Amino acid sequence: MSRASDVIVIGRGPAGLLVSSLVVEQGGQVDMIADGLGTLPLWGGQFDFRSYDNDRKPVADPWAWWHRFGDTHPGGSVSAQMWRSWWQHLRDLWFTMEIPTEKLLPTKNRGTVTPLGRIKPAFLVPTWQFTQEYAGAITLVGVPDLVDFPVEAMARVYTWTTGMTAEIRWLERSPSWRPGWNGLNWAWYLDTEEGRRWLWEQVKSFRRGSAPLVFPQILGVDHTESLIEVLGELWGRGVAEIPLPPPSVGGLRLQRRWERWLRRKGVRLVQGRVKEIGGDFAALEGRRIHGGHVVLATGGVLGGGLEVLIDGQVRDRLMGLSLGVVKEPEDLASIGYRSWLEPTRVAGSALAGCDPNRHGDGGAMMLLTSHAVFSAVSGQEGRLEHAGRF
Amino acid sequence: MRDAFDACLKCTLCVSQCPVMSVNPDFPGPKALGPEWYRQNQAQMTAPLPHVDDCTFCQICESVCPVDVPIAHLIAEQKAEKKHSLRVWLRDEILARPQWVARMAWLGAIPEPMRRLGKISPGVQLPKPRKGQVRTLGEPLGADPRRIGLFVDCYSSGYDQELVMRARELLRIWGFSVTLVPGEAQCCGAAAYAAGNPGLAKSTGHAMFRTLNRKKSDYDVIVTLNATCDGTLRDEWPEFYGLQITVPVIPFDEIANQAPELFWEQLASLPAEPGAWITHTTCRGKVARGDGQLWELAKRAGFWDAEPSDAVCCGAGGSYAFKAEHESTAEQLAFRVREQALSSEAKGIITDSGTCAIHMEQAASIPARHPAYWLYARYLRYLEEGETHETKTS
Ligand SMILES: Cc1cc2nc3c(=O)[nH]c(=O)nc-3n(C[C@H](O)[C@H](O)[C@H](O)COP(=O)(O)OP(=O)(O)OC[C@H]3O[C@@H](n4cnc5c(N)ncnc54)[C@H](O)[C@@H]3O)c2cc1C
Ligand code: SF4
Ligand code: SF4
Repeated sequence: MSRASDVIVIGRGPAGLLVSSLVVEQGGQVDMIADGLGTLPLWGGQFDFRSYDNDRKPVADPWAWWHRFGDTHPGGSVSAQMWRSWWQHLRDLWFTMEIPTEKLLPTKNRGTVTPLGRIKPAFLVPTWQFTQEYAGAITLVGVPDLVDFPVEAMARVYTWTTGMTAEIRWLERSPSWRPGWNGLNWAWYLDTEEGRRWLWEQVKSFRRGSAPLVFPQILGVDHTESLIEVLGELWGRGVAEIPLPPPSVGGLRLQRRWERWLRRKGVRLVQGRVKEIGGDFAALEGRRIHGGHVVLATGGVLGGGLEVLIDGQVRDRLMGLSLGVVKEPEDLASIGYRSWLEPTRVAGSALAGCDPNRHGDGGAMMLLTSHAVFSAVSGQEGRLEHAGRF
Repeated sequence: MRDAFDACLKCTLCVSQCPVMSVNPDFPGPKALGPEWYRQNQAQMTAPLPHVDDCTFCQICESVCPVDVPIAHLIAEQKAEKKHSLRVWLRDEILARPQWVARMAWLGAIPEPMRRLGKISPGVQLPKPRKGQVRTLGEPLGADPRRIGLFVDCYSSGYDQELVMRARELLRIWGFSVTLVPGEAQCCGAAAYAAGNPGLAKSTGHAMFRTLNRKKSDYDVIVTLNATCDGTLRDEWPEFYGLQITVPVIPFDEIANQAPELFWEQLASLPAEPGAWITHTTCRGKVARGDGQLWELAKRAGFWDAEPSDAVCCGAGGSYAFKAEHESTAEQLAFRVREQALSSEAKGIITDSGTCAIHMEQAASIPARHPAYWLYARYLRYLEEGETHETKTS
């Protein structure tokens, strides 16, 4: 038989990827089962700690926020030291996956800019994304017919809200351009040799400026860093990008690198919809996968699956249906799952009492729940200290 | 299928993963070609979009969709409405029936003028039938009561009898009794569906189903050698062809992972296969089963330096790469495999489809073969060198 896994992770969204990574780092074998892709390629690519308070005001110092105001939230019981070790771990993990971030963890939220020119808090971001500590002058790059990046309106809003200048440099239409191209079409093009050369020539012809050069997120998919490096040399100042609406190139870069890393660590990705789970198995149409533990990272933001809240409520988010409550093992039978002896392990941002879209804490919730699940299935407090448990 | 087409949430996940979009700037992508076009066409007849034929029918889009829109199948219906010139139509009618092509394999290469006339890609090599000798591997290492119907797809039947014999020999020493099905060159219908001929796909599939049924008392499990046929028989037939196969359908690599421990121990007693290797689970394999099994198999078999392929799809797409208008897309998709092979200095590719194998072999200039081919070779090496290496069990 092929090796039964130590942990079956159901879901291929950010939470499923993180739980799987934690397990393989300890030498465990993972079967990651998914029916669809999960939401990472829809993300701009930033992992938020806490961006807004309960009144939707931007949070400058998320460390202090969790410390002082977090007790109404499931994440409030986590110590600063623990948060630090989780964020540091994510940063290190990304480093091994070739997802670049700054060397030091942020001490405060930084400001990124939206395609509408507004400032938005951001915590851990790959270095290709434009962020700044204080709003300064910027030079925006306009791309003809890219409707998701209305650069002139953006420049006006930026100047109006920050008081800083926002100059514009326009790209021409590349010879390969086609009507209707979105950011991703541009990014695939700029991954090619032809695209890169074309862009170098364009930037060389730009009138010089003294502010950082800010592109919409189009600078390649797999070869972004080398392109940004050359552009930086040509422009003489920093070069970075602003995420666009989905299909989002930043999240796609993360997903491709993350999954590549997991594949190389021997994670088996099983395609299919799980119809039944038990303490040590997941059943799909016509087959049954066995493993030491089962983790649900089934999200639900896109209706991909059931959302199991940490208080035990099971909901179908797309249809808005409440499917029941899982408190006792027998309850699982009533929502279509077979009864089993262990409590449900659920990772993801679907945590009762939290609303990542409103609060900007999707990254933090993913860390909290994934590490909690990992501790439970591995019998480890924290992480990494006791290698070889599996 | 007609219910799910309207479920599209416009999330664009399919767009983010489509391999053709990543190399072909003209391709409108799964969302525009699938649910969006279909919706419009339902409201009022809409002409097929110009680049609809560029879809390889890899189904990656479907596998990532959160609400199971049958995107590639909707695109296939759109392809069916496209009008072609007589010679393209004729070529496509032939290529949609790979069982005919397989029966004509003995004819050998197609002369250049005919290729031009038939708009066959000038740069793509056509396969040559492989008929290497396959010797017995000795006594069975175990006994498994399951009787296997080894599914000989049209490609293997016409061009790779050697692979069929190798797979059969391996299954025999793993303790199975083996029957070859369907017994003649027939197609499951996948090629016709991919080419935008769902009607022909269904009649082809039904004919295959009848043949398999006639022999059904001979086997308990069907084992496939090609990921596309595997997914078609198990998943596509019930959903899109109205056919229900009653026995389990399992890809060869999964049954190989169930081979007797002794077999693996014997292979483990050999020194590791030198050099780097790439395992490429084809797009249809990923969609049907997932990814990672092949890599695990390669490692277990002693291909220690195997690394999983970074390419989502190699661009072969059954007969897709043979069509002149797809040459550039197919070549660019295969280029990813070539880049990886060059950077890792790979010695070979292990992959679960014969047509993908010839495409990658040509692109990367290294041998690309089915896992049964490599496993057989390694076991033969064990038999020849075995005495010099002590097995763990002795
Ligand atoms: C457009 C968009 C942008 C966002 N951007 C950000 C951002 O930039 N930063 C941030 O912090 N947060 C962001 N969020 C919030 C974030 O997406 C969610 O909080 C997060 O997706 C939850 O991830 P997850 O891994 O829990 O679930 P998901 O990403 O929803 O993944 C669920 C997985 O489970 C699988 N699944 C479900 N049921 C089954 C089943 N029965 N069998 C097999 N598989 C199953 C699905 O196929 C899927 O793979 C964004 C959300 C959206 C919609
Ligand atoms: S993945 Fe599915 S739901 Fe999302 S845009 Fe594509 S077809 Fe629509
Ligand atoms: S089947 Fe493959 S090529 Fe066709 S649209 Fe879907 S992902 Fe793209």
